[in-house]
Amino acid sequence: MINILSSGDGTLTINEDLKKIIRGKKLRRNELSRLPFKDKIDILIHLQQMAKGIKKPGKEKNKVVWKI
Amino acid sequence: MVNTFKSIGELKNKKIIGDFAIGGGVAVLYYVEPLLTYDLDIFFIPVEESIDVLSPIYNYLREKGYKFDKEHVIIEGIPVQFIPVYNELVNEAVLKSVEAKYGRIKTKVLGLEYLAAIMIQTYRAKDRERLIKIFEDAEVDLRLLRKILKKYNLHDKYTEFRRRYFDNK
Repeated sequence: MINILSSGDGTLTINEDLKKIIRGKKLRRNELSRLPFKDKIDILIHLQQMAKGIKKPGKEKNKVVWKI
Repeated sequence: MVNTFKSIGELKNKKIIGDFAIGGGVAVLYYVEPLLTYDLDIFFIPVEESIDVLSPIYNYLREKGYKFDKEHVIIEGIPVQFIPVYNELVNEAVLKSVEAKYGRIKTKVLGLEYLAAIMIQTYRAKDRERLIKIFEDAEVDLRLLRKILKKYNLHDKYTEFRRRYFDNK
């Protein structure tokens, strides 16, 4: 369980566990950043497929999924 | 995608456009973790000054059988938007773009620092969102960035961005 600790003066500070999680997420993002361009485009198409059907308010139609 | 890049490369080989580079969301994706975007922005230097620099591109691509959807040309399944360089910064960014490999195909993408400078200049909500990702995840050459920002009088805007999102770190 993660404790968010109070510093005593009313402001909240994050504990070591949460810091580790944040560090881990940053490392993962950095790993993904280093993927080859082609792999990133493949992931992009997956993202487009996942977002397909989600209609934004005020938008006429859904965006297209790339057909490559 | 390979054929999309080939068709765009043909435009330069046939001297319909000058130098070009990928910009926008796909350029950001090149440097950071994959993010959602729907079009491929191509910044290009026109071969000659003209009121309508897009017509030669559209005519060539139409003859090749590609369809159009609003401001996009659908090249091999991908909506592509051609954007002529619209100021000195974008012009310099295209001239100094870097080589990118997509499998065996080589293409050009805007350099990271120029891409960031252009987004600081345009500064729409999605630019700010992408700038945050760039500064968090990519290795920005801050010396080069500051040089570009100084040249194009964007340093104050950058300082404001850093103050707002990064506590001026």
